[in-house]
Amino acid sequence: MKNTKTSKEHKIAKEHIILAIIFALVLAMRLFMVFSEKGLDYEAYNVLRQVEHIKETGTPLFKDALSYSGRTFVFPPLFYYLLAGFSFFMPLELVIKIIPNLAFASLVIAVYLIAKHLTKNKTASLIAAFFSGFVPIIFYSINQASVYSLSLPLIFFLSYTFLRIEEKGFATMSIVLIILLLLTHSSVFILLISFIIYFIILTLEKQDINKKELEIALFLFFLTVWFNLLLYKKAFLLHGIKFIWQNIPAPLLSSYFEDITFLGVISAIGVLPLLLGVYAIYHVFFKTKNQAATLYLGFAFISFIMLWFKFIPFKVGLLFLSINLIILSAYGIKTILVTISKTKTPWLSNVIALSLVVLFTLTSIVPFVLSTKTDATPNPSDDDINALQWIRNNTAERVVVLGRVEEGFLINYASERRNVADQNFLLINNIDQRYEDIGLLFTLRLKSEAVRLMNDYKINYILLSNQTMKEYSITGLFYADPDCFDVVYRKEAIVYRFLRCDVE
Amino acid sequence: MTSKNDDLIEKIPFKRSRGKPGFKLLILSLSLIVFVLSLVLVVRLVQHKPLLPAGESYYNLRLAQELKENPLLIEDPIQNTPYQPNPYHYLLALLLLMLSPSLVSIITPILLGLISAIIFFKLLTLLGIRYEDAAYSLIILAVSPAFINLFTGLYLYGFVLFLSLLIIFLVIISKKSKYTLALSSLLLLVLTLTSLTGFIITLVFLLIICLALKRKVRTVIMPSFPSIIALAFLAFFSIYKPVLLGFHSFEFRNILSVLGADLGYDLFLILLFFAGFIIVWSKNDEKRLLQLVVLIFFVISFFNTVARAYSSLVITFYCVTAITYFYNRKWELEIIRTGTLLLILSSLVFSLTSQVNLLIDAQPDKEIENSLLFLKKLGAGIVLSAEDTGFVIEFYSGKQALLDQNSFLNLNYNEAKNDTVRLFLTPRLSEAEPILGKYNIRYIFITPEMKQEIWSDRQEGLWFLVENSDSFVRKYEYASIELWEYAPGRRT
Repeated sequence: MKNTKTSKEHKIAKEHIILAIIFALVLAMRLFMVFSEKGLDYEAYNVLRQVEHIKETGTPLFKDALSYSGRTFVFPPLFYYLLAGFSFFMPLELVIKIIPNLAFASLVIAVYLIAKHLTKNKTASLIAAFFSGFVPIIFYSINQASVYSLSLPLIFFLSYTFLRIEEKGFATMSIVLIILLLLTHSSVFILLISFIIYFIILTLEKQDINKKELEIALFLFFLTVWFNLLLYKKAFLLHGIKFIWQNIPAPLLSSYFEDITFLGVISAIGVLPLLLGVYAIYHVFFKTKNQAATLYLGFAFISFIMLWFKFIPFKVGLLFLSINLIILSAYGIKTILVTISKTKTPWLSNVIALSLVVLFTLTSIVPFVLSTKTDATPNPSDDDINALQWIRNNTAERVVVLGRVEEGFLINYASERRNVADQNFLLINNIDQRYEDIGLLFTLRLKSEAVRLMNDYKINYILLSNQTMKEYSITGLFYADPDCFDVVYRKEAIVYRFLRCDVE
Repeated sequence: MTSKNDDLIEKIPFKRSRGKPGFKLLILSLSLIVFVLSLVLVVRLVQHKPLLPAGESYYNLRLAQELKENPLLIEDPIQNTPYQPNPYHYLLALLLLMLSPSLVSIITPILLGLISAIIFFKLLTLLGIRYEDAAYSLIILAVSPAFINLFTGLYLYGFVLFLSLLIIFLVIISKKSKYTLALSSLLLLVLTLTSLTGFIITLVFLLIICLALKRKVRTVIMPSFPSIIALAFLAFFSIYKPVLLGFHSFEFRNILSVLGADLGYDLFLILLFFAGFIIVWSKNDEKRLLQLVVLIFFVISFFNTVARAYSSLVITFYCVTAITYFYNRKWELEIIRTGTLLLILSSLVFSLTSQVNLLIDAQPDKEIENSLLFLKKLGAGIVLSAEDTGFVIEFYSGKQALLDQNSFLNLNYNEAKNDTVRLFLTPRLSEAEPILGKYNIRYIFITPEMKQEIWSDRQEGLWFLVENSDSFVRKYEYASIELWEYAPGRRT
């Protein structure tokens, strides 16, 4: 008896050790990638400002005098508070790089727990956890300080506690996770719709609906709608239904909300999880009835629909779709392994499990390596940052600096000066016009038009960064003659000062 | 009378609420309605803003003032268009004989709202809905954006809703009384002249209610005969043109109050309506046809403003059903029950406060009023401004606005609208002058909202032109409001 118990404990420990190894591998891989890149990406500078503001004042920067030369931000602040908390123990630059990746890596644990609950099979669950850690799309979106790094694991942990709601303590955990999620990001809506789909499928299949599940879903539903209405009321009024697309300028919209293609899905998710996931969907629908699998089936379905109809940013949608398919693939793996173990060659199941891991590594490694080479957007160069630091040291405090929209947060952070636009478009009037004007200011040849726009936006300085020169294939501004413009900084990047001239 | 009807009515079974049935609840609901409706007007009064939020109220009040002076008005003296007599304007004119315009603006909407709520309550009880649930429906009504909007100004559809409810109520109780039948016939005639869409919706409602109460259809057909005959007569032998108003394409901005719809639904109330609908549907097999009609009407309301006003009343019952269900349901997790009910309560408060805030903040403010009173002193001429400011301009300045919210009824509306857009966007005098001349525009009234919405706060288009051309003379400028006179060849 004692021996059996010890052996069981030993087995559990082994399973956990493997999971810990997968987690450590994923984290190490992510950190290696992040630290091999110099500096931070453009969006991370907004996170830096928010976190620094929290450290200084205790509150996030909801009213920002620098962004768009003065605007209001609306967002749930938990992610920034979390980073601010960690920044008391280590340098902020390290926090920005380590914590989001730690959170992303924790997805491995969430997927393992869900898969284990779904399949009751350790091997299948560990394989699914491995898949989730190395699925290509998760490395596409290795944005160094993405809020999704926190919201994604939270969503999947919540779905896990939701499935185990009958067990002691899970209801409380669900409520805590719901609140944390709401304070992190509005992506909780996807889970909410998945719950609705889940209940519809259960009703259609005449399966019993768990009362506690229904109650938690109802609570989440009302809380999410109420909280988001309260938070984004002004944005709803200003942008109407376009709010769903975050008021992103029309020319940028296609890059945020891309068309979904079969090849795109394969390269983002990998062939194996996709095939196994689809097999699991077939199995759940036509062969066996599994309530837990139904939830992830609904989740995958809604992710796909939202991607298809462009209600969700492309990469985020693919992230959701891939994780759900991986969870479902655990179900497919289990079915295969169980079937083989019942044959005359049960040992073959171990070989199959190993083959799946090898096959995944082989089929996913190619798109993954390719993605790191092609998809990564370059971080701002030291020259650009030096130019902005020069602006900070040599210009008046209230000046407005023009840069590309992508450079907006960097301008605010590095030069501590106002920008014309940045990548947070919510609550900004006539964003299309503004975006177009910014593009024009880098390409115009006609001085009078440029001066008019400069006056309209009250611009004092123009930053012509390395990246801007590459993007617009220019080496200087065409209209910048000495009557109206003065080159005040010229190295790899150029800074122009606008002399406020009048043009007839 | 109620007990007699109760025999005919099949009660809709749903769980009983925990509250005590009683008169106090009704009084509380009605007090809440009066409080909410008066709140907007009182706050505007305290803030020294003109009492009524911008829009149709100013048109109705202006015409009532004209009718007070000349009851046989045949032409709108400002718009110079034929005037189709509207009973609502006559009612307001009658009130203006006794009260000041300010008092009429305060008392009329609140009174109409209150009476409508009382009739609605009576109707619900007549239809077999429990006394307390009917009273709770009034509480939901008090926080409905459409109801608040309709009864915080002099809106035609508010009056239409009141008339409809009164007619339905009279028809239901007029089982054998010829006097009530005659009164309902007369009111139907008044309703027909007020709003044809309202008349048709009322007839549909009456038919549905008759079917639900298993009454003879004759009880509906008979009182509507005089109206139909009168309508046909007027259509053929007078200038009256029967038009079905209120239709529009499907747009979330028109439907959801959170997106700024004037007569929209609150998102939470829609969610509660669906929850209530599912509950009623699943518990009541016999009346599913009736529920289906309600659902169809709800869908139609997405395409018609008048239908939305009616539907805002109908959904309150379903919202109450949903809330009662959530309250009475045996929850497995007590904390979730408390949380959900608190959320529902706070969402209702949220709905109320956002709509009230919108109306309080709505234009016109004191600055707009002053600028238009200044315009009144200037010589006659057509005023160019934003379409939704048209009625306010006409009310205060006594001058015709090129476009107002009634202009869509004119034949040349699309042409005028396109020309206006072109005019607003052109910075060239050569392009602007032909349009200014075509419509005899003399004044250009620029508001801060126009600067933001049309020109993105940048001096462009017509705004740029008026500032930089000698053909325009600045007449007034204060608080970002500008008034320009188009006077070619003259600069003072």
